[in-house]
Amino acid sequence: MRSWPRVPLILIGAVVLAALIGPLLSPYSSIVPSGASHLPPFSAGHPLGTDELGLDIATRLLAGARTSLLAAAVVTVISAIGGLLLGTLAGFTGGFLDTVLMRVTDLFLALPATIVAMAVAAGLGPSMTSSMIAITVVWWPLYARLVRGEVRRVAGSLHVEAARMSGTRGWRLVLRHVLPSVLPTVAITASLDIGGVIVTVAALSFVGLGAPAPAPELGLMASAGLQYVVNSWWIPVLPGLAVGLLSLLFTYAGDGLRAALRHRGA
Amino acid sequence: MTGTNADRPGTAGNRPHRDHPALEIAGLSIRYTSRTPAVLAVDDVTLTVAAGQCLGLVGESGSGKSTIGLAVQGLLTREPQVEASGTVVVDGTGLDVTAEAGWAGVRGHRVTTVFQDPMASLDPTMTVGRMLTRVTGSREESLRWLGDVEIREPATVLRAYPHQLSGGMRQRVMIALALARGPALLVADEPTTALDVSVQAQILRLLTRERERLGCGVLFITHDLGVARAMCDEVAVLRHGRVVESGTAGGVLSEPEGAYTKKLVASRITVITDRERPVGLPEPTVIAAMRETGRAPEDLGERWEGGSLSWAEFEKERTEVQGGHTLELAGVTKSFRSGGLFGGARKQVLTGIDLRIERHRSVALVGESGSGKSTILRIVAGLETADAGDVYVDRTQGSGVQVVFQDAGASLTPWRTVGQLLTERLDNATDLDREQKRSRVREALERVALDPALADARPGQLSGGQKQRVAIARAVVVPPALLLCDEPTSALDVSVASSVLNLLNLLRYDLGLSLLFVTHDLAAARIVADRVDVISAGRIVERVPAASLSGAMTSDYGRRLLDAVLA
Amino acid sequence: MLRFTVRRIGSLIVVLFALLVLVFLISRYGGDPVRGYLGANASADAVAAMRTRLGLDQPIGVQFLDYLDRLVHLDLGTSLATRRPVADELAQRIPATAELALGTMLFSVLIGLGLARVSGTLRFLFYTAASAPSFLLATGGVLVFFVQLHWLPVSGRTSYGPSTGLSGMYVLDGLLTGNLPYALDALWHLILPAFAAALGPGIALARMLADGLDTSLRSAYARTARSLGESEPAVLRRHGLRNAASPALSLLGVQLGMMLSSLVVVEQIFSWNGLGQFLVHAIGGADTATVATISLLLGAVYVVVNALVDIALALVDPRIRLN
Repeated sequence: MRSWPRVPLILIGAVVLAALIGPLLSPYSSIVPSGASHLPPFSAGHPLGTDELGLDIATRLLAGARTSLLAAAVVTVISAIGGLLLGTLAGFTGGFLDTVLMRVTDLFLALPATIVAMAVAAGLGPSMTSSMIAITVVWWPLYARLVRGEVRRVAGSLHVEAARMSGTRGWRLVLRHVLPSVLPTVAITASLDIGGVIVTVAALSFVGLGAPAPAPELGLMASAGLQYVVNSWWIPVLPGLAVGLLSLLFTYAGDGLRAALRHRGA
Repeated sequence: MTGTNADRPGTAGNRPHRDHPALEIAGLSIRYTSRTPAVLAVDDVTLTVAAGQCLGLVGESGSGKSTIGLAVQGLLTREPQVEASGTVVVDGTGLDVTAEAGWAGVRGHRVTTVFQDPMASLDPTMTVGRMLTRVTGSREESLRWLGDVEIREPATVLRAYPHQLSGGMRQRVMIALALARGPALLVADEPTTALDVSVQAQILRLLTRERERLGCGVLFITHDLGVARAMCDEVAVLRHGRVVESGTAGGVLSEPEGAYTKKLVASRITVITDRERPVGLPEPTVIAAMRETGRAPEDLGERWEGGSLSWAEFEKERTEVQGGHTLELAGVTKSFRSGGLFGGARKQVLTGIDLRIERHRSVALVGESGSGKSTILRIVAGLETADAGDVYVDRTQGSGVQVVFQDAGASLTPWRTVGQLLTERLDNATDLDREQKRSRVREALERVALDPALADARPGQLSGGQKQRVAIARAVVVPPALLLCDEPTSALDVSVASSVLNLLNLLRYDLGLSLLFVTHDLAAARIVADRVDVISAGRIVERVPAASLSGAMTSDYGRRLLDAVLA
Repeated sequence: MLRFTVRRIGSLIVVLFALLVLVFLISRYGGDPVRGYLGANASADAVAAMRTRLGLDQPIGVQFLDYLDRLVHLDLGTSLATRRPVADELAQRIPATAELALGTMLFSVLIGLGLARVSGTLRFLFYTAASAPSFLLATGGVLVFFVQLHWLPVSGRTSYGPSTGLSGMYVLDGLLTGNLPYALDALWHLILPAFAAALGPGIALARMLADGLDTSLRSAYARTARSLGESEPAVLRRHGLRNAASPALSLLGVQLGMMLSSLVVVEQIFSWNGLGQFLVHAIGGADTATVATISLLLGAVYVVVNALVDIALALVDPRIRLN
């Protein structure tokens, strides 16, 4: 078996840990000014500088990363679990339930996800919770679709037919002969998706669908800082880099997971 | 249409006499270094295809025959991790099989190929005309070539995409593509393996006729001894990359000298093979399974070898009432929806099928692809339901119906161990305790000549033959009332296939199993069945006793199948 | 083929209707339209009067029909942010976004084709860049090409005034009116925003093309072509690209969704006076009805374009018709 994607996993562990406990360790608040404004990175006491209000950027990035990770985890986990349950049910029972579910997911998949998420979040009133709900609304059909397709594929395969011939039926058949080949696919997709969700959360926050300023959200920080790009580039760029880095880490971890599982499967 | 166009290149009439062989290979070795340890796929092979001659390259899977086929047309030059030594001379031109230099103008011109799978080998996005005209140069020439390969409506086919053609038609197109430039050497790589037997015979006749007409040499790669004998002037038998025996086709295949060739020839089953005795040469695994029955004579191996071991000796004495039927189908019909948005047309696959299997008897259902034979099996298995008609299975003689599928590897859940798979069957059909189950699993594995230690193995760790035997073990670990076999041997090499047939026969006599054996192979059907039912286009057209198959077959279709089986 | 087209258009109509219902629900129940018009301090009487005026006391079905009726007559209400009719705002901004979207599409294809055959470190670098959010790419572009190098403009669509042409797309208008400097200037303004929005979709396209080429070059039909004497470039051109193109093109249709949402962000950064900027204004002004209307417009474009792509591909690729 090929070695686990160790480097991105360690980095993810470090980033998650920093995001979780970092704000507690930081001497500054993420919403109370802590020094002179527009301090560049590597200033004394402010490793990543301060923004236009004199808020410590490092502290705000850690807090923002925590929000992003939490939001992405909630969206992905709910979408994946919901999709897994509904997709398995639809794929395995077929019939009316399957038809209804597929029509609904077809609709969602035919619409541009981020645009619809923006509309839904705006309808719910801008906040991080609205964004999470809105993204989940457009994200779960992907999983339901994926799982349903996989379940149908595996359920139609010869080994399931053979297991059915040997007398295994119902949930036992699903658990023993179908799901073990579907779960890795879902896990890989979910881990690859977390990066995408992080970027989407940030995009919604960027256009003003997250919490109002001066909440430490990465997208909001990047958009609010835009006007200072000429003289204090770090104010808009660092939050964007943080989003990119988070998304990149999860993408590589997902790729590694895929390679590791594929290798094991072969 | 043929023979009238003497002005064309590639017609025997004006073809220049070839004074050198189509292909000469000397001391060729090919090694794949991508795998560790490196695999020696071809080991010091020397052979010659004379101009206009057909050389059969015969071997089982992994023998290196396809590697030689790729090498002589320069299709290994782009593989990064291939090493080769020895010489290859195509139509008088010496070439390096691992370097691209020199191949331009040879590959596709003086050497061309007909591949095994005509569906995958033709670009799905191109029409036949587009592909063919690329080679022939003009639409008229393309039409003429389609006529030459006996395609009836060439103009229509020219506009068709590959998926719109039948397998046989696609292979004809492939042959036209390969022959249109008048090559000196044609490599035919298992050209009929994916086709139905009757189509196979037509394609082979076509290849022979075109070879004689064009005077090109043919390197004919096959695993099928019968095909090799029918097609080839000479044969070379390949094993583990080495030529183990070569000579004229008739000589090698009727009087083999080497042990391996003897075994291959003995494993080959024809319609005159003795069906009262085990087929092939004595095999230790099958002998071990025979001993498990407790009814085997002491001098088992010697008697098998000497041809005096008869299946009747394994026949269990039955105390229960004889007679009655295990399976009765009456007036079964079935149709499938054939696509279409607005309800669509329904395609009738079975029409008024009546089929009975007497208790402890075995029936083979023989037909070509699309005949409906597999649908019958699936209906009996309960995997499909009939539209109309009665299906009755007598379940008093065993536990329901079990199936052994063609692709045994795919029928075993990859992440479950052999033991888990067999135990699951026991869980579902019996109330045994753990210890009893364990011993039943062991017995079942021994009965199919598998090491009981394999209970902990996963399917991926087993060979093709082992997987098929695991599938059989799972089917009989609780003896079923009726065992259904769906082409269980057609994906296996001949020597493995014959041991699977022997095991099935052993089970049949020892356990008194009723058997429905679905196959396209009349010869295999005859070995395991008491009666052969021939099915065509959803109807059973003929029922004959297996013991007098060739004499009793009277229907046109049945005779055609029989003629297609190459003796 | 006709059957395929009919079916595809049927499903297009269903999806458009669903989008309409969704947008209607959001504009009706999202936020509070009455408070939006009257402000938070309006009296109860005024609120009730406004509800009647807006038809909010009617049954939901009647409200929906009323909504459709006004949509058909392009009566889209008044923008809370600009106090001008939404229809006028849209009419003015659609060409701007259309121009940017076309530029983005073009860049995506160029990036996709350009990167499909690169390998090694370069490939790794580009794939890495693909996971960056578009606002980072846009901001980075501003920093490098404007702040540092002074090469490219980063604000607005032109250095001159609005075009005098008919299409409202400045590059096109410049060309049509024979005003080449104007067209070039508009093109110059287009480069950075379009590139920032195109990088993600372009790289996704490149990956898809590369995978497709890999598969088709290793396929049995490619082997047949080689065995018939085709050179490697001919195999790539005649069989590889042909088979890899249609999945890549249909991906491009799907990527349009990602592009549109990137455009919303990018327009904001580059002060591009288009639908995206209008959308952000509307979000900032809590003008839910206008947000819903813009989403409807963008969503409809996406849905229609994808239907057209599918039909076009079915014409080209027999395998799609078959499925």
